Amino acid sequence: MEIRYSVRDFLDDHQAQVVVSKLIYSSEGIVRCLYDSAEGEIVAFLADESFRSEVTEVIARISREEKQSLNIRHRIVKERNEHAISFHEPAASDFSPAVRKDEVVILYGVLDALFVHLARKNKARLREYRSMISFDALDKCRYISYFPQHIYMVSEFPHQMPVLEQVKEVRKAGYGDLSRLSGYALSPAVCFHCYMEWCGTAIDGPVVLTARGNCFRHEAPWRLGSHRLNEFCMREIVFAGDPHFVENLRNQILEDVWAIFNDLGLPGLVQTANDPFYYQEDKVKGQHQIIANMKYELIFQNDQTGESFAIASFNNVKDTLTRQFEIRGSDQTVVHSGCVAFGIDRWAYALLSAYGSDIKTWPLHIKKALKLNLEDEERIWAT
Amino acid sequence: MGNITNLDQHQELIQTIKEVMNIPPDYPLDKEIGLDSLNSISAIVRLEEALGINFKNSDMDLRLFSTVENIATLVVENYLDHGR
Repeated sequence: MEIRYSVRDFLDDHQAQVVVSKLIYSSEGIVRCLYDSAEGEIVAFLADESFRSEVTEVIARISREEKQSLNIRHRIVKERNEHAISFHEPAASDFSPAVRKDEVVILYGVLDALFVHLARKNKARLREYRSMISFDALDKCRYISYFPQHIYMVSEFPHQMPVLEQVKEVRKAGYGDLSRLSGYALSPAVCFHCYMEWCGTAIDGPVVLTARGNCFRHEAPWRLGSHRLNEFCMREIVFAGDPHFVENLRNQILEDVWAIFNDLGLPGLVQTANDPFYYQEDKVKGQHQIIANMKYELIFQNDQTGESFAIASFNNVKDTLTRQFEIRGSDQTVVHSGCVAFGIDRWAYALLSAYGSDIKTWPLHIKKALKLNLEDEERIWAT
Repeated sequence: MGNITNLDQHQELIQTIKEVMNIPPDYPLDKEIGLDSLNSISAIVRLEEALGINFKNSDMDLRLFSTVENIATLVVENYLDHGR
């Protein structure tokens, strides 16, 4: 069962896609949704018929809101076609979200090493942080109020004997009633930990940190798989300093990553981007991110399947976060900050799509670009 | 505004830009305006309405709106009929 909602003559293709991107997170009665550009219709597939009126109203509301918004599109600033690639579909057994094995684990390691090298070239200090982050930290950057669709909150059972005794009885169905929020969320990004480390301090000159962590974002179940995960591995380079330092470093790293992307022979583009603010009243912030060039994304494009997804983002958030976290320079003025984020799972998935699941057979120049040497591992696996 | 053919009309354009973007009359033309996220979009919308134009998506780059001089150049070179 499906709803076909016509937006022809009301929204253009870009606006309709924006509606779909919000619709994904706006009703759990939807099991899949898309924009049919040929018919000018937004199509929502329903879990059951009882959701029809709710979902229709949600589509109508989001469409009205989008119509009233300034229609600002992303601008492409770099583009690379690679017609020689014959794409592959990584098999679920090779790229299961639940477990990465052998060669894929090696691939994660070499990709991360590549990004660490880039960070160290820019004098980054090394960090490791926890997977949980406090609500206080997320409230400082307003993450939960801007992106409620993505947050995973951590629950716990109170340390009270009657409650703990009931847990054994109720099993899964009753866990929700007996638990409470812990005050922590699963971290949706690595960089917030860096801001917490700097919170309330004065930094003496430019600072650069790099850390890798598992990040967690609540995703519509029907979208999970391949490159879209609710737990993923992210390497970030986070930096703060005067406005010129932040802008220059962000742009320099973008150039360096574009060179790596080219060396790896991958097709895609860099375009201006915005964060997925959920509420209409915050949308102006996303529009400003686009026109102020605050955010760029590196998009991998699979021409054969039409699949495309961001594998890195390059952010100059100016003084927005440093103001919230009260991070100042030695002259007591609020500094600027930025970060570059690499979705390591997505880089791995892009490479597996481009060159196949058997990493041993990848072109030599790609292995060289990755500094990928499987000889030691092959010896171990052979024994 | 129609077209820009002389200095008076250029001055009129500068004045219009300053008025709709709430910039003081004596603010230097080449000094950064410093549009932030709270006012950038609404300022651009007001400018479109006042000048009767629609900025192309390729021009939605805040660097082109960084000073009054840059905005005037963008408008004159791309959006106003020069009478040609």
